[in-house]
Amino acid sequence: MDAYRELQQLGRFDQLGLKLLYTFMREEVRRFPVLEPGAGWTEDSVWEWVQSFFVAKGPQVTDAVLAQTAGLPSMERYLRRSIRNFLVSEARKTPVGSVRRKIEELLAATPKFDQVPSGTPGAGRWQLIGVQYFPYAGELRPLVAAAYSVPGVRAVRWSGERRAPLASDESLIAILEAVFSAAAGSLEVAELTWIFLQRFPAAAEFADAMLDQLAFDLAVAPFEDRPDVLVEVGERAREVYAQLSPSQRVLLPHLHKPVSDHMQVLGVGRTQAFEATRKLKAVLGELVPDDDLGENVILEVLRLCLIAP
Amino acid sequence: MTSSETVWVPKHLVALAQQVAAPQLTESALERRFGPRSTWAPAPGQIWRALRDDIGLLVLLLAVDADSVTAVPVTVEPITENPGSMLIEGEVTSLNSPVTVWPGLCRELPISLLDRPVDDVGTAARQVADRVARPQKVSEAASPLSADPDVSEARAALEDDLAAMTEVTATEVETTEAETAGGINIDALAPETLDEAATRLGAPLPVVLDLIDGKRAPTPQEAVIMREVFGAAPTATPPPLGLVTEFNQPRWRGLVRQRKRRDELTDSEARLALAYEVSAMAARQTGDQAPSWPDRIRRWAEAHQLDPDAAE
Repeated sequence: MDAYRELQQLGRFDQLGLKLLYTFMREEVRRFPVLEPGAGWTEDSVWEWVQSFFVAKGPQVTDAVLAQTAGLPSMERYLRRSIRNFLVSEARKTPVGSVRRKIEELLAATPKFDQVPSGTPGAGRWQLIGVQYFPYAGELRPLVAAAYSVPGVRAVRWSGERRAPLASDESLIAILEAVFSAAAGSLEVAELTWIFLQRFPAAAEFADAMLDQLAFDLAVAPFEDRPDVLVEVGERAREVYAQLSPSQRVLLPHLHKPVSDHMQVLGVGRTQAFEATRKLKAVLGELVPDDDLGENVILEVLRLCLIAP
Repeated sequence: MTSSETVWVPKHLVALAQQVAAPQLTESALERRFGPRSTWAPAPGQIWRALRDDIGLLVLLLAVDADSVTAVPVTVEPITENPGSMLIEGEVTSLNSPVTVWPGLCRELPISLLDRPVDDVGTAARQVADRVARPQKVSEAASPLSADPDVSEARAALEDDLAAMTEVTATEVETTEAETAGGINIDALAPETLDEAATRLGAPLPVVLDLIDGKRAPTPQEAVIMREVFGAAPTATPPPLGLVTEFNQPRWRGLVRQRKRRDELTDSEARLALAYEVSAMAARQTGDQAPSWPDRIRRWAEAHQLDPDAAE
């Protein structure tokens, strides 16, 4: 009896299936330092992630494994991919608390924004001052595009233990204004937080989980611990480097090479490799200053990525 | 941390798993719904599991031909509708949750990839076909980073799976080509060479002699072994195209799997080996009527005590 036969017999996950989830979760969470508890990974903390995964994805995963897979190998492949997608998604929203606090602080302190008074539709939500908006009820994705449309915003991502850099207060206020204008409606802080987390994502990519162990270890090692880093590098290049995900650091030195090299370096298929390079180029466009220093900064970042890994 | 074998599974997780059970999707439940495997016939509106090696995908069939289907991938993951995908709500499917179909990734797939039917969404497939015919335009976002990463990554993974599924491997190219001719001089063969051939072919000596004489056509695998042992192999007449095509149908996948496991072959090698054997038996049978390949396959399976509907 294996986990697949158990699932087929019972129509649900049971002892073997849940142990398989635990095994994969234990292996995969290590690829996401941003999720690691202060006391390090323990059996309990891994089970907590299994539970989070199952609460969020249990119905879909049960359906999909039964309907889509035809044996233990295809079941394992599906589960591993689902767990990776889930962990990437969780890693990207890790700093939700600090982002929410920052937004609340700015909304309260900036005279441009006002809370919808009680007794009116959307009471307690936020809006631009001096207008009578109804609560916004549309898709949030176009508002993310509005957040991206504000020019001149730098320092957009963070990774690992770094605190969220976000951007200057002026930039953040400009983004809030752009979002409220695009919405033409009042918004909840939770909605604004979600939009900001899309606009300022943490550096976690699907390909991080696909790197081979050596490349991954080098890419996540604390910078100052690396004995091979003997030269002083520019502060801005360090900032850019710190905001790249492990797989992006590995990929950068190979960016000019054919896609077959990207597939090999990342351990993914062609379309996923295209997706990873597209995003890396876009991220570099966001992070690297568009001035005389830009070229030097990118060369320094490249050198850092070459040194390790 | 303890190893996963000795790990204790929390009871509340088992209870949680019970709440989201999907007994309607087990093999036995699907068999009750769609009948025995040998009666399966792909039809538009059905959702099938497509399978190649360890890659499994759900696909919604929009059109079915003799040897291929037009299909769009389906994921059991409700994703916000976007220009490349659309949602099918839970009440239309027998699954526990809504599914996402991807009209933007519509492909023509070999019918041999279809493994088993899992659902039938009926007329909802028409809306999907309409979207395939009239794709929505992708609006330009303010930044490539503002696109939903979950959607773009899910789509990229699906595209890679589809590419891997439809990729023609070197073995398949080789096995679909006719065997090259090559005579073997039986008088020049040492007895130990014949013994080696018998051992490697897993066949008694009379069968080996029949293969050398050309009384029995070798399968591609047998031809490979014969070339390695004898330095040549007789020509194998390729099985009739109709028979090869028939073996691509999912109703024979049970037989293909049994052969695949027995001889450690790929799917396409197993199909071709079966086609050679059924073809050889058909050649010995006489009759005025044109052969019905499904009947021939059933008769051959009976003679070999194989059940196309056997549980796996």
